[in-house]
Amino acid sequence: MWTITCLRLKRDRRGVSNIIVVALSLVIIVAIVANIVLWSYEMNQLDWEKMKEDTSITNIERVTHSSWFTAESEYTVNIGSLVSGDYIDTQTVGDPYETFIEGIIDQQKFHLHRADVSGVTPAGKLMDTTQPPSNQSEITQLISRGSSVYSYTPPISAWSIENGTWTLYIWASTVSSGKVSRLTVRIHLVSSDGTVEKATIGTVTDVIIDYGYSERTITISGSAISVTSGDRIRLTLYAQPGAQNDSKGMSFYYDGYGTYETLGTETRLQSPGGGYGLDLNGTFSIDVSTYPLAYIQTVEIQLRYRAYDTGEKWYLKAYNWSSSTYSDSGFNSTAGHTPTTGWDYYVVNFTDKWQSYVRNDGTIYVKFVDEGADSDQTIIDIDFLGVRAEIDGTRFTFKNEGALTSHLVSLWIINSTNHERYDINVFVNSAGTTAYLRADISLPEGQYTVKVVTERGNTAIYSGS
Amino acid sequence: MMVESLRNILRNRRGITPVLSSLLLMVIAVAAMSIAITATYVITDNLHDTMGERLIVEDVWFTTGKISIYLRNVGKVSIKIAAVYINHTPQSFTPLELEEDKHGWLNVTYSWSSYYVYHINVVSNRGTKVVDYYMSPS
Repeated sequence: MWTITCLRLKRDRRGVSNIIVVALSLVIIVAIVANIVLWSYEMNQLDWEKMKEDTSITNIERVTHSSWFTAESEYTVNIGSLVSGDYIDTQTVGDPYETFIEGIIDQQKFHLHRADVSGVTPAGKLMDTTQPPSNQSEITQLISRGSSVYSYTPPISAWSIENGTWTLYIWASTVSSGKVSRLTVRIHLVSSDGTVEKATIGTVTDVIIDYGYSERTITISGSAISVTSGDRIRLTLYAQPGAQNDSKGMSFYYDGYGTYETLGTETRLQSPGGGYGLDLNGTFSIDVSTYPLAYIQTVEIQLRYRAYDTGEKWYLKAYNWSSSTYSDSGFNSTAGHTPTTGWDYYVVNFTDKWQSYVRNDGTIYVKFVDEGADSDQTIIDIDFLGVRAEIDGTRFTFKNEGALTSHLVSLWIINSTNHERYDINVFVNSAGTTAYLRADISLPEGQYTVKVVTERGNTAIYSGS
Repeated sequence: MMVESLRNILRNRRGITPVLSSLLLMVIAVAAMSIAITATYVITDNLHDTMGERLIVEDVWFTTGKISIYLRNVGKVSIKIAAVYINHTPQSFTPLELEEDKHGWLNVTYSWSSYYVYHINVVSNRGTKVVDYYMSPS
């Protein structure tokens, strides 16, 4: 067979040219098929898919707040204890609930010592929980008019100090007979080297110190603060200037025993406490991918709780990321809430100060605390505790009645004065409905039109006002 | 052996003509087919690109002295806008070239009147057209 074919080829040499022409014609046919026929098929399919698409906008509504964001982990109980339930019980309104009970608040007594504290600015003396040695004699400390003396605690471990009254017991006298001195007492939370005043706990001024040593009891209204491990508490005693005050200043006895100080009546600073209290905090997180910080107007905290007595107020606070303390400064209400023994709602918002309380990733630490130590050991049921962002956004509802999944890529908000376009990336399944929330889109006043464009090139329209 | 073959060819002069004619035929065939293939590629490539063009108008915005047309390329090839006709009259516009899945404003300088219907025709450089009527606002 092969021999016959070769012989024919030898005889008819034009056959080679024919083969070349046929082979190259095949190349042409392949090019035409690939570039035209197959491509035509593909583009026809694209057009067919576009025709099959049927997407519509079924509803558009203004959204004024986000959904509630609840605790993501168990609450940290700083004072008190957990009785029953867990944080999941506080995620929805209605049974079940989580129950806490107040715990004993320790009262701290800081005795003023003569020892210098090293490495602090301004320089100062030690103030510690230990009493002076029993065999040590008391000494005096002069405060010249217009001058201050400072006392520091050692670096202390993390501590949550609640609202309440601080008391300074001080054996003091003005220096000159017949004169008075006016004393200002300040209590600060400071960094370990004293240079940074992290928070003012309390201040009292114009305390009259007259002539003759006696134990003066000075009360200072103190704010609740959270002490970070390593911080110090600083006591400042400032003899006020002015001609009405003794020019020689005032002095006080401390750090020992003698004519004035006896065991238990030393010059000392006493923290609030001495009773029952509750202090707990939880971590909440706003979904900043859905509710970008740039479009949040404020943040609201809502608590639904029940207290078993009505003897004290309860406060919601949040961690201030700027000052590194829990605070309610700038809240719309800082008065606290008095419970009724039934289920109560307590709602506060951060007003325009919300940015101090929300970290860039949306994290918020919320504290629930009583007003101070009291003699009743209160039981608290928390049914719901959550935070939400207040926004001026829009929720769009898209419906796909076509046979294919729709990919929405472009959204238009159009009114008589503006045509605003937004990139979107929303997939709506066949026969599906999808709600799409945009915190950054606020609907215009008056008549408006919303258009949404699919990746295949179809457009759905919604008109509203 | 080689020398012998050459002697045979030189001796038999009638054998050269068919060889030359065959070679010539082959060269002509190859050359003709090369031209044909090149032409096919050029023509089908153009057809391929033209068939792959899809362009939609997302929005038309009438602003003072200007009509802005928001275009989206939903086809399979890049598109360059070659001409814009408003009421069948060519208009000047800012150049616009859209890659696949890209979109952008095509700004046409035009003094329009309120409450008037305009026939707008956007033409790509391959000849694809998007044509529609648009009513100007009050």
